[in-house]
Amino acid sequence: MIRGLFLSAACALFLAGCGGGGGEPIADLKPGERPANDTDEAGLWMQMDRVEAQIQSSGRIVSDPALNRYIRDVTCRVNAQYCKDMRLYIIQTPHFNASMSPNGTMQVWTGALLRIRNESQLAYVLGHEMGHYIRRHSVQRWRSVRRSSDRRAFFTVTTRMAGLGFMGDLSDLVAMSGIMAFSRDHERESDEIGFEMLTAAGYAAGEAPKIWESLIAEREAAGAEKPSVFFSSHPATEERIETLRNRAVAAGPSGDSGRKRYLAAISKHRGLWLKDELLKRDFKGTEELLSQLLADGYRPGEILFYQGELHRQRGDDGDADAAVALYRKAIGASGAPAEVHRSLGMLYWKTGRNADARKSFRNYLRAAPKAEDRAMIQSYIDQLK
Amino acid sequence: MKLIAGGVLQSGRHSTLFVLAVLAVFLGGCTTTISESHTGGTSDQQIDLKAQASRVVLMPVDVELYELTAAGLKEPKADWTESARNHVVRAVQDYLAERNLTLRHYKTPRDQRSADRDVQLGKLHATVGGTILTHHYDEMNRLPTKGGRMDWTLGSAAREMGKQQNAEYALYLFLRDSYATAGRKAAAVASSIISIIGTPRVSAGERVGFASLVDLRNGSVVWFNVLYSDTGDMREFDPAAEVIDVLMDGFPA
Repeated sequence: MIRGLFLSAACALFLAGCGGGGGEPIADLKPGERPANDTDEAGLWMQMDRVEAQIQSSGRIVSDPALNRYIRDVTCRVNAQYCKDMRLYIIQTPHFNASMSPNGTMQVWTGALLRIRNESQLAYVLGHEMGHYIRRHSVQRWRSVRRSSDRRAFFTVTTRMAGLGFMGDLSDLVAMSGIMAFSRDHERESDEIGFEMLTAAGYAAGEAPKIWESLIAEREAAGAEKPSVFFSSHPATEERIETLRNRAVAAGPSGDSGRKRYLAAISKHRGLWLKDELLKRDFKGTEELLSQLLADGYRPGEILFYQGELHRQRGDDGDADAAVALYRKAIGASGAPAEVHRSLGMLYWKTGRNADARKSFRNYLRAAPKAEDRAMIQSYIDQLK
Repeated sequence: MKLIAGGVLQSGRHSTLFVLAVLAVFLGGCTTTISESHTGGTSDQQIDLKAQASRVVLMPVDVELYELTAAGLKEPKADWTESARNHVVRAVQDYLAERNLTLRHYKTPRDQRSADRDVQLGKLHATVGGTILTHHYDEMNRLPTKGGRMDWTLGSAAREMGKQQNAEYALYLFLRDSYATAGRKAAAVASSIISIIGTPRVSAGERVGFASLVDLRNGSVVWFNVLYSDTGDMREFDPAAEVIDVLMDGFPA
């Protein structure tokens, strides 16, 4: 009798939880569309509007108009219909990520811009993010989480009543793996949409899988104990890379990768982004990234300098010598920043090579006559007399 | 702490928000509304807005309403939030009008610099408000050298905002409110039956909030109040006005 009462309460719970219907297919969001105010989707938009207001006043926003204009232009080239609904925020943070919110808040992190090699790769990332927006993945995921947690609540309550408490934990596992699988499907779908936009806009299709390949190399170098922020939500499986490669082959001859345009757009910022990258103190991962960028060939002097900085900052056995060698190589290559002379001077000074240190500091002040630390460096030169 | 069963529970200085929340959970079936206000500021003078015929600017109300799903997830509700915001603004307006105080609605300044300043002030206020909640309402977290004094300030930037908004005081309101779905109510019923064998009670919705009054001539937080309630309904005007009355309890006017 009492058990009958329990079960009817649990059944009411089950029915209420599942009354909202199953995972029926959802139509694409139309350009300029905003969900009706009485829907669950409007609730998500409302929350993201609040988050967006916080982002707008964040000190981490990269406000450089030229860089913002460039990425916005590429967004519109990738999809002219939807680009008006995207609000771009470039966030200064050294991790690889780009994200899309249900209301069209699109974040691109500088750690991603540092790793992207050309406009085609950027276009693919932007297209992938727009895919999440158009296919309304946030609300789909919310509904899925809600459905499975409702079911879990039912299952926990009913199994407790039947005296099988541990079964509730089991259903948690099943529900969680369901959510993860759903999210992987979304990533696949966005890959597909991003790829279609990329080729339709005349970009180099073969560039899409290359981003993942570089990231995986970096992750492997860093070791498993340092999982990337990106991989936690974007499982880059071999299968996804393979799919993109096959699609690229099927798409036929590739368009222009847009490397020159891309590098021109980021050139002013890359030094700062490399400096930020070193702040992660994930030296193994950064070493892999820097050798990839060196092989890419743009401004090798700058990359060699930051390779030297990595050794100097790590300070293990042999690092000081390696740093000196890299700084000297950087000075001989194109694109080395003035700071290379300062760093070299510091290391010379540390090892007692005072005359060389003085010469390096002088070279620094000659290369950067308006340096903020001019007075400090001048005092070093005076001390070294 | 004095407890008025089934109605308003007013507490003295030594209670804590945590204790209030825990109490509310254990009171189970009976309805609970709790508020606790602190007055402060840098001067020892008693503040009375009415005597000064002060003008109060209501800052954009930070309110969000949710639906509680069967499993306890909070689904944000845009339509409920919109009507709750309208009710709150109207109720505050009425509350101040009864005390012959002028309410001004915050206007976003046209120049970007001032607009940014106000956003940063809002962020600073959120941090200061959180600090007050932690250190004045939670006995375990009292600051030993503070001696219980409420002398928090947002600094001089508040003065510029006050001049622009033509007001001596700014009122900040924060409210979060949730309602149970049919499924959640069923879970609450079911779990209250099972709780005999040790399952915690499932909450069927609650409102929490705080209100804070800032003197815009010097940035001091002069009055602060928190609210916890498991009754009321912010989606309708009359019960929302009752919630606002509790939240404004102890307002210095």
